Amino acid sequence: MNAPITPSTDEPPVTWRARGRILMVIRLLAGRPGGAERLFCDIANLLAEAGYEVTVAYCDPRDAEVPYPLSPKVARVNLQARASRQAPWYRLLDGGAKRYERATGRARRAALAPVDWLSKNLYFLRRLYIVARDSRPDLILSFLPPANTPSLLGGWLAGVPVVPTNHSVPIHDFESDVRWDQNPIDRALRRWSLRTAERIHVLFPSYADWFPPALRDRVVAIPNGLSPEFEVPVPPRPRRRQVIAAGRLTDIKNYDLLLEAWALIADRHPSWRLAIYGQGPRDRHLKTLARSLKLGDRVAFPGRTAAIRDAFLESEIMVHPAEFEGFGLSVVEALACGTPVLGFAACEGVNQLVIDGQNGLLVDRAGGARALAEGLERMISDDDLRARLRANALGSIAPYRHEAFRDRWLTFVADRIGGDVEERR
Amino acid sequence: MTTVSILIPHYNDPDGLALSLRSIESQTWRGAREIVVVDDGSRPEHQARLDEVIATSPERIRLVRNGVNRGRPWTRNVLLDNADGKYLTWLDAGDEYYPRKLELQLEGLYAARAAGATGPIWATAHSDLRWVGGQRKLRRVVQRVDGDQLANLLLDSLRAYLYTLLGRTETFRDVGYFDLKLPRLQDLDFFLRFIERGGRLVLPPGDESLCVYHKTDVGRNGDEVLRCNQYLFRKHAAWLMTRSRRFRRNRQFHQHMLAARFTNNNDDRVATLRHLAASASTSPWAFGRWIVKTRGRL
Repeated sequence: MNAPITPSTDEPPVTWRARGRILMVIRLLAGRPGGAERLFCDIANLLAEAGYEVTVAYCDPRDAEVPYPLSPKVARVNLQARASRQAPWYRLLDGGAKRYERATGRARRAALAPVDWLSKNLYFLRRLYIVARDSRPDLILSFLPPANTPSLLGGWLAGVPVVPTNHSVPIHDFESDVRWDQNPIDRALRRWSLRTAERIHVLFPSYADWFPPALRDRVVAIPNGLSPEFEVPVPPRPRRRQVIAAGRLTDIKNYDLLLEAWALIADRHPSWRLAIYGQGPRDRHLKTLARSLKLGDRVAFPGRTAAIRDAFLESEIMVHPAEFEGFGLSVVEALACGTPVLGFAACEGVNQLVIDGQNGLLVDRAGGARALAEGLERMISDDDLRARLRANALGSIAPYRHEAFRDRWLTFVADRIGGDVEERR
Repeated sequence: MTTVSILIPHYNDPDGLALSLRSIESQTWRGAREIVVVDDGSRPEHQARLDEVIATSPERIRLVRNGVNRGRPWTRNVLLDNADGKYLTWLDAGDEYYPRKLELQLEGLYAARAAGATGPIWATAHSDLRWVGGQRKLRRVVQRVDGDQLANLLLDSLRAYLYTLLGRTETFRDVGYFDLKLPRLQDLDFFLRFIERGGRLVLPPGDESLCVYHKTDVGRNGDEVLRCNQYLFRKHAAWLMTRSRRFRRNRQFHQHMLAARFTNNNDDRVATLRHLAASASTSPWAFGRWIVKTRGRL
């Protein structure tokens, strides 16, 4: 960080030095129990345990607890201070942002777009820049687009290398008309700022294809890993005739289609039941739809559970009809429990994990509910098929074991922070 | 198994160490304890006396020698590596514990756990401060643990004195090692890192002082302390950013005033004026208040 105050004549033991200082950045963290937040805490913990000095920074108006356990070796800071965010210039920008939201004319929206962007990002960007400039971490790792753009710009201004991590299919993070901020400035900067990245993280090697050729050689694929608790061996237990789905109850998960498919075959398999685990904005809608399809007790909505592993272990089939998925963590979890998976062949974060006919079945999305129903029908009525798929399930997730995930991240970070970190400061 | 490790750095002050050891002997807590002394390259004549002091003490003492003078952060890291106890506490050679220190601090830790504290905790303590040479009266230093402990540490209502602490050894190791770039204020840095990692300081039951610090400014280099303070300011930039501009300015004012006190107590008039001028330009208002309150006495 600075010139040593008293240069030491002898080298101190290696164990006294941090292997490097890493600033991990996410926009919102407090009280938000999502998949990306969990991954963020997992990576912070594994880097800290490996001897890196890790600081996690977020910028959250809420001052709640961090939702997942953080190692006592990880420093944490919420960069948002209420008083400074209330400064007159920020309030002025916030006023402009409100006008932007209400504006309808194209010219007016174009004129107010920079104000809206600054209102959402200037405070965070400025703080990240000052922190990077003063504390000079060896690497900034940022999570999700709302943190990636300010981190890239702040790190670039301060001369600190930044690696943005992307947890969805790139086309959905960079081109979607609904996901993330639709302000044209943000959309443009999200892509432009990638030029300043030291490396760009994606979940699977095929996701690199989306990036322009000039950036492609900077793309690094590190898939997510299975949570360690799924790796503790448990004795086999009897499975119920149950089809399970697990995930946030949102549009993207496509549970409407699953209910329609289930309605097509439920009568033919009266001893089978569908259980959809999770919470989310579509909760009420899905329950209403199930009633209107007269599914009665053939479908259950048990909500969110901490014992999802038990639910997978006790189910015969997992179905994951998502529209798109960066990395289907629940799919890997089901496979780790020996539960074969049914999904769509076109869903990228699922088709990387499920091999048709080996550890599950993949059906054509164009076939809609009927195709899904046919896949379910095949798996339900063919005990041998299920047994074969189940036998392959556990072995198929070897690349996603927590150990492999940890090793990939540690190797990646060690490659980025090579050499004598003390000397560089 | 050792329950408490008492860690003592030593440099050229065997009689001070003897005083410290006597204060440990008189502790009311009689559980299994060990003392680790790391000698930081004392002069040969002090080495012989050091051996004698240790040999005559009834306490279980392990002596480790650095061989050459390595400085305080290095010595504290050696101590940290040598702590075997489940709990750990510090004492500088020449300072003293009052008899109930270990007993009350262990009680304080248990009470905090019983009250539901889940993160890492250290017990601190109120202490007394005695100026070496006796030119000033004994002063009580009250630790304030309520509210924002990070702010309290930076504005001195919570003092970063290692000898006031007792905690589980693993909670100290989780903070990491003392920063070798900080010949001064490495303990403040250590405290700040503990709080930044979700740690909390608690006070033991009762209101009594539990230790006494024999303080001197002689030989303390004001410029060096200022450089260390400025380094800390940059190192902890992320947390300072969450405090107001006024808070940061106050902290900088205090940094310059502290440097001025050290240079003044070491009779360096020019440097003192330089630091006072820097204080005045950082915060004229605080400087004016200081003039009115103390009539310019450092």
